[in-house]
This record gives sequence, C-alpha cells and structure tokens, in this order.
Amino acid sequence: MIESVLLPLTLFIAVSGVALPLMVERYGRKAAAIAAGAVMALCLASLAPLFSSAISGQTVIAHFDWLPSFGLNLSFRLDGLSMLFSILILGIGILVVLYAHYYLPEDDKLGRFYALLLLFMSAMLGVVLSENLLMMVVFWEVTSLSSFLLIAYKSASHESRIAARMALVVTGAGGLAFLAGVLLLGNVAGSYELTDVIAAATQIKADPLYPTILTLVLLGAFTKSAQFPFHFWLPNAMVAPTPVSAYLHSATMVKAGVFLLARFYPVLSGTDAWLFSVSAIGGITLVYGAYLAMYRNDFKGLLAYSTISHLGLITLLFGLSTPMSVVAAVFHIINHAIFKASLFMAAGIIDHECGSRDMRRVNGLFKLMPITATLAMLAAGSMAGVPLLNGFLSKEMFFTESIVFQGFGNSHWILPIFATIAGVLAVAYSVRFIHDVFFNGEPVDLPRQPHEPPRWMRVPVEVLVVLCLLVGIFPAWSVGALLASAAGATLQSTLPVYDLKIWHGFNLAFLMSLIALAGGVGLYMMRSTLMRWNDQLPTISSRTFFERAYQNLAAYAENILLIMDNGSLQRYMAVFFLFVFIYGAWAFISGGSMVNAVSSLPLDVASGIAFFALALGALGAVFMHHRRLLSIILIGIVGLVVALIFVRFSAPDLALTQLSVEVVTTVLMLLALHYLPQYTPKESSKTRVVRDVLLALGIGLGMAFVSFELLTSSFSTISDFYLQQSVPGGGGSNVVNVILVDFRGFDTLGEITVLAMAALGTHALLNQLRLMQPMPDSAGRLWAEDAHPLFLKMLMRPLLPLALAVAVYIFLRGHNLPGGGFVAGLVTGVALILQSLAGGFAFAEDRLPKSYPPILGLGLAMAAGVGLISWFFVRPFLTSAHGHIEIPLVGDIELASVIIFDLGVYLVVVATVLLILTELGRLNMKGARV
Amino acid sequence: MNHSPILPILVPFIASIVLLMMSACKLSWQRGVGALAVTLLLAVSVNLLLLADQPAPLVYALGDWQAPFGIVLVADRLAALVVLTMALLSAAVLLYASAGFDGKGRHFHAVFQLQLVGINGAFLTGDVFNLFVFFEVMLLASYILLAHGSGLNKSRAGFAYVTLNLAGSAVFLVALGLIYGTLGTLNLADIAMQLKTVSATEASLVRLSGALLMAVFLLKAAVLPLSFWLPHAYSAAGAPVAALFAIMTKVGIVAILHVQMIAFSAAPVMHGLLDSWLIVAALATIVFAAIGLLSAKSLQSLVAWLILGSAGLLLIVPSLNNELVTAAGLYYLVQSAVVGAAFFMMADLISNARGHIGDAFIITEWASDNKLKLGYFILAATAAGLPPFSGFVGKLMLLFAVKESVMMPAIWTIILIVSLITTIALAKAGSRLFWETPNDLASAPRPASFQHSIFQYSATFGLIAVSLLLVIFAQPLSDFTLRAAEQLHAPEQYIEAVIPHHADIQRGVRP
Amino acid sequence: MEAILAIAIGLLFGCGVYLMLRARTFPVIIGLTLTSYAVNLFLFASGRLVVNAPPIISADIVRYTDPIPQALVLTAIVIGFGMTAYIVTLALRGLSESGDDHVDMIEKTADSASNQLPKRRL
Repeated sequence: MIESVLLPLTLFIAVSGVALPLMVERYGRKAAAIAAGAVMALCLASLAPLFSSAISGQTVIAHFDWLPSFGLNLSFRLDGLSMLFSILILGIGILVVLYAHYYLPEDDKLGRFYALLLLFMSAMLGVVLSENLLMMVVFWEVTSLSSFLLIAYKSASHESRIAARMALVVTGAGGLAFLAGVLLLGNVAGSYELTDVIAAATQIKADPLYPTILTLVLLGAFTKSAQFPFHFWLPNAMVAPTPVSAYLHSATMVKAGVFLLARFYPVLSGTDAWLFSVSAIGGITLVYGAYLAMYRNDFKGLLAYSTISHLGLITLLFGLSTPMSVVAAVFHIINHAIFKASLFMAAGIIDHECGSRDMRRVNGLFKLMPITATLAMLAAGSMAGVPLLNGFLSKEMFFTESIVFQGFGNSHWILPIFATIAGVLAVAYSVRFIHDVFFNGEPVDLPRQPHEPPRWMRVPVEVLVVLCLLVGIFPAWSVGALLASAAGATLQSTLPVYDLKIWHGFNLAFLMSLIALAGGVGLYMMRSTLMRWNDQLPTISSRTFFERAYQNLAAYAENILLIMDNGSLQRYMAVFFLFVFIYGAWAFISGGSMVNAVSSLPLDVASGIAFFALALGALGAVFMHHRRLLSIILIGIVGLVVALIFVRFSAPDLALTQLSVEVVTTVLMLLALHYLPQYTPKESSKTRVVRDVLLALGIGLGMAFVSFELLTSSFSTISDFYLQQSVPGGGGSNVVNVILVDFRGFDTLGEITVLAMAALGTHALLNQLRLMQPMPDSAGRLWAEDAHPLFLKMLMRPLLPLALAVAVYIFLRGHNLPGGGFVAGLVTGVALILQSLAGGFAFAEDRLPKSYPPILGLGLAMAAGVGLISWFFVRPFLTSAHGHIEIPLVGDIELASVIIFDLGVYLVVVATVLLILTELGRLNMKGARV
Repeated sequence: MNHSPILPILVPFIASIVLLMMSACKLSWQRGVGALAVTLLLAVSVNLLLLADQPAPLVYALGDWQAPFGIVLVADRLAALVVLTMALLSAAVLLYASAGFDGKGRHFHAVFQLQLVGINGAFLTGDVFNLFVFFEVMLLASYILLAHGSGLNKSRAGFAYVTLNLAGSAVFLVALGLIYGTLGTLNLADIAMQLKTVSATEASLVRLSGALLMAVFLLKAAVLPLSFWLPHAYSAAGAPVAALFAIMTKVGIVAILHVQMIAFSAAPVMHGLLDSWLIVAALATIVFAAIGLLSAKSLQSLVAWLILGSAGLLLIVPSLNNELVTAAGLYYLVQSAVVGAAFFMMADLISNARGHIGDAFIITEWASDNKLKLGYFILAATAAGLPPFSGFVGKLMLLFAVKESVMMPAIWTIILIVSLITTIALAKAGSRLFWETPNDLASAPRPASFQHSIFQYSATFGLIAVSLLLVIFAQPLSDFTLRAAEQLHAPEQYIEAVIPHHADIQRGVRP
Repeated sequence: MEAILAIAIGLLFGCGVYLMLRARTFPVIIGLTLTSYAVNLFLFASGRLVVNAPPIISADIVRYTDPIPQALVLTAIVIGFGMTAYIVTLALRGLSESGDDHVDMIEKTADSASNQLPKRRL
C-alpha cells in the first residue's frame, strides 16, 4: 500500500520537529507553543488518511530493511490499537501544549520544555507504531529517557532530581527486561516482526522459554505502568510540572505498559501463567493504589495513586483474558486517559491559583472558581464511576465481567467482592477530592488568593470534560468504532457481542455500582478514624529509601573494589606472573606430550665456570639486593657472562652488542643510583617473601624446563633462505647484519624509533623534575668528593680519537663482519660520555651539540629516507640496492644502500646515549647549584 | 606499486621526523605540522578502507622480500577499519590537545605521531615479531604521553603501567622464541600453515607459545585479573591522552582477533586455548568495571571504568569465535572507542569549567552551559547503551549475535544488569555535576562563565557527532563489519594472499 | 650443555621475577634487567646451540648457526636498553615527586612514615 509511507513520514515529522520549539523560542513563548502544537497536529494529519483502513480492521505495514542481520528493521504498523493510542498521544498532546503555555511561569521560554515534550511524544508514537519489536524497544527506552528529563525539569529541586532518577532506574530496568524478553521472543518466533510473532503464538506458548519471556515482557509492562511493587516511582514523579503529569503520568507513558499488554495479548495470553500473574498483580495494584489514594493530603498525590489503581484495573482486565474483559480494558484505557488528564489539568490550575496542593488548606474553592470546580467535579465523578460519565461505562463492564468470569473455578466469588471493594475505595477518594477541595469550609492560609484561571488555560479541561460526557451519554456514537477496531486489533480475532449503552437494566453490576457509591460516601464519612489509624502505621519515604539504597550500593561497590584492587603494583605484578604461570602450565600440560630429551653438546670446564659466575651474580643480586651498588656490579657480571655465552655459541654480533650495551647501562644505573637511596630497606613481610619466592621458583623452574625441552627438540625453519640470499640478495656476508638492515629492516626502523623515543621521554621527564640533592650514604657522605679525577682526564683525552676510529671501523665492516651502526653508535656514545665524565659536564656541554632531538630526527630521516628512495624505482619501502665500487688504492668495495640506513641507526644511537646520559648528568648540576 | 598499506604508518612517521627536526620551533608551527599529518592520515586511511574492502587483503612486502622471509603488512578489512577509527580519533585528540595541553611538556607532537605509528603498525603488520616491535613503539609512546604534564598521580600510574608492560614484553619475547623455536617462522600466515602440521611432540611447546602470546594481548586488553592498571592509568593521564588511550585496549583485542582467527582457530593444536575460559573472564571484567563505576569519585575515572567495561564486552568476541558476534563486536569497537574518547574530553571540559574542584563528584556552584549538558547527556546515554544512540545499536547487535551461544543467559543477564548500573551511576554523576548546588547558595559567589577553547569544543562535539553518525550509518557500517568478520573467519584467503605459493617454500631442519 | 643453559635461563628468570616483585623501584629495575637477560638468552636459544659456526658467509664454510634469533635478540637488546633508560628516569621522577622510592610512590608526609598504601584517586 502506497499510503504506508505515511507511517515513517509521521515519525519523521515528529522527530525532526523536536528541535523546532528551541529554534523558535526567541520569537516568544507563544511561538514555541504554536510550533509544538503544529508538529503534533501535522503528525495527526499525516496519520489520519490511514485511519479508515484501521477502522475497517486492516493493518497497514511499512517495512524498510535497516540491520536485517541483527533483526533490527524500520518497520511500522497501524492497526486499531495503534490508531487508538496515536489519537490519545497526539490529541491529548495538543491540549497539553496549550495548557502548558499558561501553566509554566512567564520567565520560562518554553523552548526546552516543548522540545522535551515532543521528544517524548515521538518516542511514544514510535512505541505504538512499531511493527519491529526491537524498534519498539528503542522507542520504549527513549520514553524512559525523555520522561527522566521531563520529571527533572525543575532540576534545582532535590525532590525532582531524585524522582527523575527513580523513574529512570525503575522504567529503565523494566526496559532492559523487556529488551531481553523481545530478544528471546524473536529468537523463538524466528522473526522480530510483530505479524510473524503473532502468527507464531502457539509455538511460543509451547516453548520452554515461554515463562521466561512472559516474565521479562511483563516486567517491562508493569514497571512502566507503575504496577505493584514497582508503583512507587509514579507518586514521586508528581514533582514534575503538571502538564507533564497530565500527559505522561495519566494519558500516555504509564499507558505504554498496558499498551504492551494489549500488543502482546495475542502472543502471550491464554495460559494460566498469564491469567494468574497478570490478574493478580493488576488486582493488588487496583486495591492497594485506591487504598493509598484515600490518605493523600496532597491532591496531586491522590490523583497519582488513583492512576496506579486504575492502571491496576486495566491490567486486571487484560489478565482475565476473556474477549469481553479485553474490550473493557481497552475502553477503560480511553476513559481513564480522558478523565484523568482533565483532572490533572484541573489540579494544576488549582495548584497554580492557590500555591498549595494540601487538601487540609485548599478548601471551599467552589465559591472562588465555580467553573473550574464544576469541570473538576465532573471529571472526578467519572473517576468514581458515576452514571452518565464515561468512567461509569467501563467500570460497569468490569463489574459485569467480574460476575460472569469463571476462570478462577470455585473461587469465582472473590472477583466481584474484590471489584466492589475497589469501587468503594475509588468513590471514597473521589468524594474526598471533591468535598475537601471545593467545599469543606474556607481556604486555610493559602499563599495566593485563588480565582478563575485565564480563559485558554481552561479550554483543554473543558474539551476533555465534554468528551467525558459525550462518551458517557452517547458511547456507541462517540467511541464505538474506535473501541471496536482497537479491541479487535488487540484480540486479533472476532469481537464478542457487546452493547455500548448507558442502561443495561437493574442487574447485579448496577447493584455493585450502587454499593460502591454508597459505601464510598460512607467510607469518606469515617475518614477521621481511618486517618488516625493509618497515621500509626510506620512509613518510609520511598525517596529516602531510594537514596539510601544507592548509597549502600556505592559503598558496597567501593568495599569490593578495595579488596580486589588495593592499588599496589606488587600485587599487580604477582597476579600477572601467577596468571602467566597458571595459563602457561595449563596450556603446556593440556598439549599432552613430553619429550624425553638429552643434551647433545658436551659440557666443558669453561662453560661450567661461566655458569657458576652467572649463578653467583644472579643469586647475589637477589640476596644482596638491599645493597644497591653491589647489585649493579653483580648484574654487570651476569651481563658479561651472557656476552660470553653469545660468543661461545656463534653469535659475535650479539656479544659485541651485549658488551657495549652493558657498559652504557651500568653508567646509567650508577648515575641513577647517585640520586636514589643507597640501600633498600627490609620491609617485606615473611608471607610476602614466601609468596614471591614460590612464584619466582615456579616460573624459574618452568622456564628452565621449557628451555630444555626447546633446546633438545628439532624444528624446521625458513632461515636457510637468509644464509643463501645474504650475499647475492643483500650484498653482505654478515647475515645477522643483513637481516637487521635489509630482510627485516622494518624491525630495525621500529627499534631505533624506540630508542629515539626513550631519549625524548627522558628529556621530557627530567625537564620537569624538581631539583633534588644526591642521597648521602649511611655515613652521611656524598658520593664523590673529588668530582673529576685528574688522571682520568689525562687518560681520556687521547682515548677519544682512538675510540672514534674504532667506531668508524666497526661501523664500516658491519655489513660483512660483526659490527654495524648500533655497536659503533654505542662506542661513540660511551667515548663521548667518558670524556664528559672525565672533564665534567660543563666541559662536555661546551663541546657537544646543544640539542639532540634534531639529530634523532636526522637519524630517523636517513633510515626512512633511504627506504623511501625505493619508491622511485617502483619498489616497496625499504628495498635495498647494492653494488661494487672500485675506489683507487682501497680497491674493490661492496657498497649497499643500506649503509645509509645503518648510518641513520648510528646517529640515533649516539644521540640517544648522549641525550640520556647528559640529561641525567645535568640533574647533578642543577642539584649542585641549589 | 600500491603503497597504501604502509601510508598510515609512514605519514605519522615522517611527521614525527619533521617535528623532531623543528623541536626548537614555536608550538604553533608544530601544531600545524601535526594537523597536516593527521589530515593526511585521515585521507590515506579512508583510501585504505576503500581499497581493502575486497575478499583478499592487501599485502605489502617491505624491502621487496616476500613473506614469510620479509616483513609484510597486511591490510584486511579489520585492520583498515581500526586504522580509520584511529585516524579519526587522533584528529580529534590533536585538535583538543592543541588548545594548550601540548605545551605542558616537551615533545608532545613528535611523540603523539609516533604513538600513531605504533598503533597503526600493530594493526597492519602480518609478522609477529614486527608486532612486538610496534607494540613497543606504541607502549613507549604511551608511557611518555601518560607522563605528559606533571603530578604524582601520573608518575605513580605511569610506573605501574610501565613495569607491568615491561613484564608483558618479556613474556611476549618468550612466546616469540617458542614460536620460532617450534614453527621456524614469524609470519602470521606461515604460522597458520605450520600450526596445521604440528607434530605431537611439539604440541605442548606450541600451545604454551600460544598461551603466552594471548596472555600478553590480554594484558593490553585489560581482561580481569590483568585489568587493575587500566583505571589508574586512564584516570591519571591528561584528558587528550586518555582519549587517545580509548583505542589502546582495542589494540590488544585486534591482535587477539588477528592471531586467533587467522592462525589459531583452524589449528587443532590450539584447541580450547582461549574459547574454553575467556568468556568467564570477559564477563568478570564487565562486572568488575561496573563495581568500579559505582565507586568512581570523579568523572574521568568513571570514564576509565567505562573503557574497561567496553573492553570486557569486546573480549566476548574472541571467546565465542562466531562470525556474527565478530561483526557485532567490530561495530561496538568503533563506537566505544569514539564515545570513550569523547567522554574523556567531556570530563576535561567539565573539569576546566568547574575550577579547582575539577571533575570530582563534589557539589559546587559553577556556570554550566546547555551544550555541556546536552553533550554529557548524549555521551552518558550512549555509554549506558540506551537508545537511540550508537551504544544501544552496538549492544543490541552483540546481544542478538550471542543468542546461539550456550553462555547466552549469562551474557545477557550481565550485559543488561551492567547497563542498568551504568545508567544509575551516570545519572547520579550527571545529577551531581550539573544539577545539585551547595546548600548555602547565599555564601557562594556566582561564578563567572568559563570560556572554553573552540578547539576543545569542536573536538569533543565533533566526536559526539561522529557517534551519532554511527547510528545513522549503522547499516553500511554493520555491512562492512559483517564483511570484515567473514574475512576473518575464512583465513584461507588471508593466507593465500600473503603466501601464494606456500608449497614452494624451502625449510631446513635444525639441528 | 643444553641442560646447563636451560638452568641458567630458569635461574635468571626466577631471580628477575623475585626482584620485580619487590617494593622499591631500584630492585624492580634490577629485576627487569635480569629478566631481560633471561629473555634474550631464551630467544637466542630458540635457534638451538651451535658452536663455532657464526653466520658470516665465507666461501670455505658450509655450516652456519641460525641467524634469525640473533637478529631478533639484537632488536630485543636495543629495545630493552631504551626501556631501561626510560624506567630509570621514571623512577627518578617518582622519587622527586613523592620523596620516596616505593613503587607505589607513597607521598611522604610527616605522619605517614610507615608503609601505608597510597591514597586512591579513583
């Protein structure tokens, strides 16, 4: 159907209209109100063409794929039920817009208010027009969010903020349950489109997941409709401006919950689980809400509890799940929306005029504002179920249904009694509202002198009250068609036979109505006794409870957190190592195999001695780690032995590198120790030492075992390629060097980037360091009293050119023999540093470059630049070239482009070493100056 | 010769070189170079995404040495997607930092570019040792950025972060030694091939190597019990840095996805290595993050916990190893990175405006403006996974995708309850920050309105706008992540693209 | 020989791990250094042990040890050096800011001389 485009169009109008009031608020409050009203009217106009098909029982569906793989599609539906709700949402919405313009204070520009109202309206419209259930959840949650913002509209008030959060938490939680329910539902039905889900109803009800689905969906419905025990958020939400209460908390949002019951009625109802859970919750809420409503001194609170009660009634009717009870439920949805919205607006007028909502002070208003009083009394009469008003009709239907209902077997007498009690209570609180507010003596000490409100502020109330009368007197003519199509869409089957008229004869139901009226008045007469009794009951404010619950939750969370994470790095490390150990051990053992291997190389004496030295160094460093200088020396020994191991097992490059790094690292450590305490205090507890020893033992033994396994197994590798290609492909005979600068040059580029960054990081860190004094040793001595020993100075001067020459030599031969840019760079760096150690940093500073970062940049640029050149030869980054060059006297030299790369490495290394060590040294000077 | 796979690495690398050379120049010049570089990075990333959107990934052999001998960059859809996300974030972060944060210490701009080099390299490389190198580049840059600015908190969190990561690097190297020592190769595609023919005697060592590798990635991805460092580090870092870190945990996840899906999932020897237990840890991480959320004392630390929660959520992806879950997870990855970054910036904006109290949840009088309120609201709703924002779309996709798993009830329950807790915590935080005022209003002077830098505003709200676009364009994006997931779950194409003639590769036996 | 090297690696690991679990920055750094020796040896050993066969191509030699692990270890040594330099300076900065060299950088105030955990900021 081509008209189906109107569905997304309507929502598009609604959503895009949200910002409109904000945009026009600068033209005045009226402009904002007109904009909001216009958006709603436009939505209504856009939907209207589809109403005729909905009335005739057809369902209009518009479907657009959005995320089909995840079940989320933009599909919309208009049937009788969604038509009814759209009319309620938009119709009452327009009246609320008009009303709010007068209700809210003059200094409120209204743009934000109307924007939020429209946002809420769009979301509601989305909920009722959704065909895709996930889409429905989306809109559902947006109603929670926007109602949160609306309740918190007066955010300066403490009550508003708590009430808003309470509503958000309760309805938000329900929304999440609803989401889970929908996901399961779609999973069972195989589709998230409502039509398909309805078609799969039998299958769903037979599914083992049905109870879970039902629970989750009902949680969504009950929280939103403020059913017991989730009702408490609604009375608190009354702190919202009255237009919000009229719109959200009587006509629309709370109705979303019962809408859900109606929507899922064909899918989920018809089981005992549905019957008992829904009707029980509805019944309890019906009576409980009505009972509490009686005791409210705040008339808005009275209306709030009455709303809870009426929602309970509707829920109960859906729970009974006979066709006739569904008709009654849908009918009461209409009626309640009309009379309760008008009551809220009337209440708002009274509040506005009197400055108080306390029925002990607001009395005798009939004389002061007779028109408003008459309107409110009519609406309250409808609430009480007085004949000729719409509330009477649906209540009568409920009474009739309670009599004929047989679903509870032998206990069928319970329902009529229950219904009558609820009726009595409803009459009692309605009478209280009428009598206390409009009669019952004179106003007591009101902040303002009440009189009739502005003409147009009353119009919405008048319209609604006229509707109460119209429906009450001419039901079939006024809402017959709407009710029939909505009930039909809810039932998804043929409607039962019923007769919408005022007088059904003097029957049992009418008798129940009479009892309710009489009993209600009687109950009101006894109010003082009841009130006294009720006052004795312990009360706890749900607001206090909610805040306290949150605080407890936060405190509880904090305690757990403190236990789990005490902020200690030692624990993090221990946990990490333990994790690695357990995970690794599990993975290893679950691999299942164990190699029974033996060493292939024989052990020689030299190796034994080396091992002994290594063990001595390592264990010494552990046992004497409290003496820091000693431990530096001991790990220096370990480093040397490691270099020896490299030499022994055919890795001269590694040995060279290890040695030179060792030197620089030692210098670095010594410099650092200059500022650090010289001794580590013994502060670890015994248990901690035991824990750490066990962990270290586990990891050490594990690694020894794994190393042995690895060393004694054989494997196949791609490494022969490098040996074959090194000379022809890489132009160098030192395969390790060729790998570094050519085959895996990209790694080396990353590696020197790390180096450069280490220098930058040191530079950045030490820049901000506060000055500090070197730590004296235990005897109070500073480290070196003689800063620059003369003999060292004399020794170092001639050594510098020598060292530089060595560096050049190491650099040049690197490609073919052990050496290369890295080692050459370290040698150069160390030579220069020794110079400055000997000559003093001031001496060195004069001779060394002032700023190192550009040199680092230059080094990186050379390495990357030579890689980029290959682009001009249509080769990937870092492709090398090499060739032979005949230089007179020197002879045949193999020259590879990677030599520039290696030069870059060299520069970065030199600059890094110099930067780090001079920065550390400079600290000393800073300290000395103070 | 198509160089596009290396451009996301080279562009920031060259920029950093230029920035080093001009380290003596004025900050405004450095900002210009940085801005130029990230703009260029965005362009090359978009280009890469378009090129990589094909069944076979793009392969770039560095030094013209073919895999498995040389190092290759492999731009599959996943890598291209995260590179583009990274580029987007980096543009916003640089903009934000250029409002003055960059001047709080030395070398911010150069190190920032190197950070991008490290992250993009880690995303793109197809060689595990090269991955180690880029991890180190990334980590060292992040150490420096974390320490940028001053304060004891930074040093404390920094030292813990560095030490823990150095321990992680040691484990990484052991894992690499084991991989090379058993499989004789370092190329990921080649590892995948070799894993298929592991002999029974090697199985234990090979499994151990896989476990150690995953342990390192999991440390970066901050799975419980390896997640304690994250909230401390992320709440101590300067706001722009924290924003950049929003994607750092994702590097761990992307590494896990690459290694797990390309190499491990088809290999019998790695059976159950991750998927047998990770889901429990992932869910525990989510719960832990929720506990943290409730006890957070300032907005930035709250956002740090949010990041941890999203990391936990993402870890569901490798633990279930299901195509649809992967697709959902990738959407979630992009959106949570964007929103996390924006949220850190928002925390900083609020903190600046609130004066010396900063973003701590202490009631104070300050001149909040509606833009901040709106921004906070959108970010909070997104982070809590409420519709109609991208967080909801991502969460919904994940919930939908895990429905076939046996763990579905647990996953759903935890995700939904944590969503609720997040909502509660963020609503309370918003109420504290924006709504509540001190009781004695009379004594508190009305603060002057705070002027925010236009850079900071546009960076923050730019990212918020991006997060909204993620909803509007959820369809094309989720289609892309579906294709990316498809590619990850069919590693043969990846392997074929990297090593076309696998049978011809000669291997020698040692010893 | 393999056995003794394996024991050496395990020993270095154990010692390194133990020291990394200490409460002061300095032993932690020493522990990191020891661990990196262990790691480098292990990585190197992944090419297996070969005596007198350096990977330097020469016409008259046919046997070479595996060059790849050597290249990897070289890279690892260099990176390790950079990291060590950085963490040393970080420790110094922590000392200057907290007045103490505890790894948790407890702020030294007059009344908290004892081993008290740092104030949480979270």
